[in-house]
Parts: sequence; structure tokens; C-alpha cells
Amino acid sequence: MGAQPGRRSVAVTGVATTTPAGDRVEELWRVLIEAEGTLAGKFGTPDDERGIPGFACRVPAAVIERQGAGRLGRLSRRLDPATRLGVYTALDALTDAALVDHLPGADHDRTGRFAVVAGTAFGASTTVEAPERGTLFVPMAMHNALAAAISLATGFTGPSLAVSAACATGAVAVGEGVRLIRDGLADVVVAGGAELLTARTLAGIGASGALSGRRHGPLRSARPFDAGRDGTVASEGAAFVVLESLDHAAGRGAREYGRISGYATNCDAHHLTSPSPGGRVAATCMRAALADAGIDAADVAHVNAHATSTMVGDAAEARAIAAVFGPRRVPVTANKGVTGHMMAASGAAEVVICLLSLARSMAPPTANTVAVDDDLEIDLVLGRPRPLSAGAALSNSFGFGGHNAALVLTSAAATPEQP
Amino acid sequence: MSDTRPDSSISHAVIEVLVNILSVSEDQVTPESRLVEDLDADSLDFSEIAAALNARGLRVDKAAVKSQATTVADLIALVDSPSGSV
Repeated sequence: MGAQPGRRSVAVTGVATTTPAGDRVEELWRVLIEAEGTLAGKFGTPDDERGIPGFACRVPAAVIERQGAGRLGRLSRRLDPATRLGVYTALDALTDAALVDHLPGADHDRTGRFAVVAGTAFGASTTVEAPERGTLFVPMAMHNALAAAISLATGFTGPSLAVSAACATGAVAVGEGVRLIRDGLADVVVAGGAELLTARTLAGIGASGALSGRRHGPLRSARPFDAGRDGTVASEGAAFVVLESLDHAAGRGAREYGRISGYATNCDAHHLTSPSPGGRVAATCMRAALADAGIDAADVAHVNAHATSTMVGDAAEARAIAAVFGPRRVPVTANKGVTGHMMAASGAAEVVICLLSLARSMAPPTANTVAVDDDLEIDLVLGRPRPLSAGAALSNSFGFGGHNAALVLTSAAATPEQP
Repeated sequence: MSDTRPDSSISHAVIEVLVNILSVSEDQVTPESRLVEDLDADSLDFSEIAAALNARGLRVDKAAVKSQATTVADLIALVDSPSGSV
């Protein structure tokens, strides 16, 4: 424990997810608990001659429209679709946090204490609807478009940071948000990520060799840690959390989903797309997050794995988990068997899922995995949900480029620190 | 041309562009409507309006739209006689 343990943890007081399961967190939880398979379907329309011969998990357009209805006025048409998805989800998280009566309004001394950290992996530039609309091309396609749009939509004048760490983006956004509060630069941070797929990005991920080839059985395609895993399923989504200093949350009597007590990020510096052998640097990242939270591996009751269902990625992560926690010592679950890989949204969505898992003392099972690869010494939650003993949770996220991020989550009741 | 009234096809095109870009209803767009005060146009909108009109083959200078068009009628006149004064 540090000298000021009360200043290490940050409260999570609002959550929102927009995923292939819809725009309600409870729906996401339900499909994860049921674990009936990957929420995947054909990408593109069947009558499209040039149709991409692939599949993915999609967020239904109707869900995004419903979320957005009447919320941004004219700002809406100045934003790329991926940015809109992110803004709507960020606003959902702020609504969930019941901050409406506590928003700073036009009081500039206070607006500066409200901050944004957000990102996408591919950037809005890949989904921009009409690049020929020259006037808006740059404001729509700039990599900070999402963070800027959230600040604009909320009136938050504190730091507004765009982060991008490929598939670890959502987790890095949350972690950097935690740091803003710890460093005393903000009282409230809305943090997360958003991603939409296009034919171009899907083809690109496919070309990199990361996608499952199970075209005849998309529902059984993503199989984290399974001996027969053959790649990930690309997916779309957005996920945001509202982070709040313990003092600010207590001052307004906010409901807490839980706390973020530790964060670490580092980089393999090994290869553009392949993890370091044995997940050595990822293991260092997990240990650093535990140290940041002031706890030991033995204090962790659950690990939410990044596990995208690729051969090398899952193997490296399993070895890293076994190295940090001991072989088969901690229940591990992997959500991407259901959600697919929501790219920049995954890390933030998994924070939300992890917090619910802690609050409900229940880990959702890993969908589709029949038998864990013999080589991998992890205790994977399979078949049915697993009751969890008291303790902290650790959520992993890793991205192309070698980016690693780990977050340590605790339940509000169990955290010894008080504001 | 002896007729000094703006070409009605130009009026229609201008109104259509304004409705689309400013997200307003056609009823709100009258010749007297002021672009900034009544229709809430901003600098990005002026650029978009000029680009949209040019894309329809209606030559209009972006800077002139910003500096000379106060009302919808001004904008129509500007498009109708791009080199003329408003």
C-alpha cells in the first residue's frame, strides 16, 4: 500500500456499452452468461457482387440511430459514423452516472475539472461517409475527432485526450483517465473507445492473418484458448465508463460500480503484430498493474483475458497469466467468444463486464471453447458461470504494435480505501 | 436578360442546399431569413454551402458567401450573378 492509499483508487460511477448485443449493459451481460456463441453474421449484403467473403459481429444501425435520436442536433451530421457511435455511448455513460444535475454547465472553473479520454484503433478516417465533402473531411477524419466531439457535446473543458493503442485502446483510455484523476487534473473523466468496421478494415485485418476462417460456422468461430482456435472475429462497438475521484463521488452520493485500483501499460518492442515469446512483457505489465494497486497476485479472484482466439496471441497470454498467478490458480474468462473483437471498444467493454462480474461474484463462461489447448496452464471458466470468491479482478488488453495494458478492479465494498 | 428576378431554379437549388446543410425545414427558409441569426449558420456551414452549390454547377465564391450574404435573398442573388454586386 502506498502512503496515500485513498488517492490510488478511482470510482467508476457510470457505464455504457453499445455492442452487437445492443445498447444496454444488461443485454451484454445476458448474452455473456448464456454464452451461446459468437454474435456473428455475414459481412455485407448477399446480393453484393463484390461482397466481402467474410463475417463479423455488427452493431445494428437501428441501435445507433435509436441512441442518437435528437441528442446532438446539427453536430451529428458533422461527425463520422464511428464518432457518433462513440459520442452516444459516452453520453449514455454520463446519463448512467446520474451526473446530469452535477454537470458544470457554463461555470468555467468547474468545466475544467471534467475530462475526456477516448480513442479508436482505425480512426474515423476509415469510415468517413463522404470524403468528397471537403469542408468536413479533416474535422471528421482527424484522429482526435471522438475526444473532441465528446468534449463539444458535453461542454467539458478539461483535458481531452485521444489515445490509440490498437486493440488495447479502450483499456489505455480508461487507465489514462485514472491517471488524470490521480494526478489531480480532473474530478470526472469519461473514458473509452469506439470502432466500426468497413469492408476495407475487415479486409485488412483478414490479410494480416488474424481472422478465423470458419465461414460455415460463424457462431462457433471465436474460441478463446481452444486447441482448435484459428483466429478472431472482427466486431464493432463502443464502451465508456465514468471515472470519478472518490471525494467527488462521495460528495454527490454517487452509486459506485466498483473501483479501478491499478493500471499499467508497456510495449513488447518485439514485433509489429506478434506478441513477445511467452508473453514475457505482458506478464511484466500485469505485475506492474498489481503493484500499482498495492496488491499481490494472490489477492486476485478473477482474470478477464484479452484472448482474441488467435494461435499465438492466446498462447502468449495464457503463459503470462500462468507466470504471474501460478498454473491454473485463478479463474480466467474470455468474452470475445461471444462479442468478437470490438477493437478499440474491447478493453473498455471488458472493464464494464469485469466490474459486473465482481459486483455479482460471478464470472461468465467462455463461449465456444471445447477443450483448452493442452499446452496452456490456465483455469478457464467453461460451460456455466463460475461463482467468484472475494478479491480483485485483472483485465488484460493487448494490441498490434505490442501495446499491453492491464487494469486492476476492485469492488467498492471491498476496497479498504475511503475518500 | 431583361428579367431581374432570380432564376427560380437557382432559388430552389439554394433553398435545397440550405435545408440540407443547416438541418432546417423548408418553411424556415424565406428570402428574408438571415443565415447566421435565423438559420444558425457558422463558418463551416458557409464553406459547405459554397461547395454544395459549386457541386451543382452554380459558381459562387466561398469568400463572397461569407462576406456578402446576410440573407437567403442575398445568397440567391450572389449565385444568380456571381460577378455582380449584391
